[in-house]
Amino acid sequence: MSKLARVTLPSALRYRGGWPYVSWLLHRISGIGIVFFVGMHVVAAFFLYAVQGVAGDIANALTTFYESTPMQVFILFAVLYHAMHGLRLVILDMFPRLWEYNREAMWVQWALFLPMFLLPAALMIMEVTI
Amino acid sequence: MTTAYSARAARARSGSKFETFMWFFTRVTGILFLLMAAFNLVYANLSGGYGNMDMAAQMRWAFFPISFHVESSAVEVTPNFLNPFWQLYSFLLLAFAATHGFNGLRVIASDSPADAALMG
Repeated sequence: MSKLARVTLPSALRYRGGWPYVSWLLHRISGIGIVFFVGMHVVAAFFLYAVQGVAGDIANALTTFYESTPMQVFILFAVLYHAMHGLRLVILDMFPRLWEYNREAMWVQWALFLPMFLLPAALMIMEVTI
Repeated sequence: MTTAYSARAARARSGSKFETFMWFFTRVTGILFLLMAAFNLVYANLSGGYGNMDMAAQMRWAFFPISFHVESSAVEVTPNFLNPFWQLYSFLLLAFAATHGFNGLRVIASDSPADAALMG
């Protein structure tokens, strides 16, 4: 089913898939990011509460890492982007005729995503309590 | 463009039952996560979170509503999470999320570059 990708880095950078490609790539990056964050978080939280010593120190370091503001902003980006992109895919797959308007749907997706990401990200960086 | 997408849909339909099921499962749980996140956020703010949570705590609770996630904020919620409803709810959320996520990794790992052109 799958073949080894014979894609060199320069040819990958030259690939002109345009916005659909960037959008697809971001969906994968955010998906992988969420899996790794949640996995790390579950493991770190387990060791944080269950274990003392070296494992506890590692858990503390991991917790400090993912509770830092840049990481929180990244997770907000990943989750929100993944959700908005996924919602578009679900809606367009449910009504396949709408795939014709994929580009317009992607504009709508970005128009909704940007304020939904930037406002909370700003509040997060300013450490506002809501 | 249109033919490519419908070809993908056809492949999804004519492929193995497992792939078709996971294709469907991913979409259903994706919608479910959105609804759950909205419910968690509304519940968090109605049950005393409003005015006491920073953005990160709001996000933690939207993501996964367990008492650990608000211990660092000023919200008194622990008793609310000791009933079977929230335990079952959290378990289902985690189970669905893990399946959704690891299936996604499997799809990425078994993907061929040709599919990239077919995806929205």
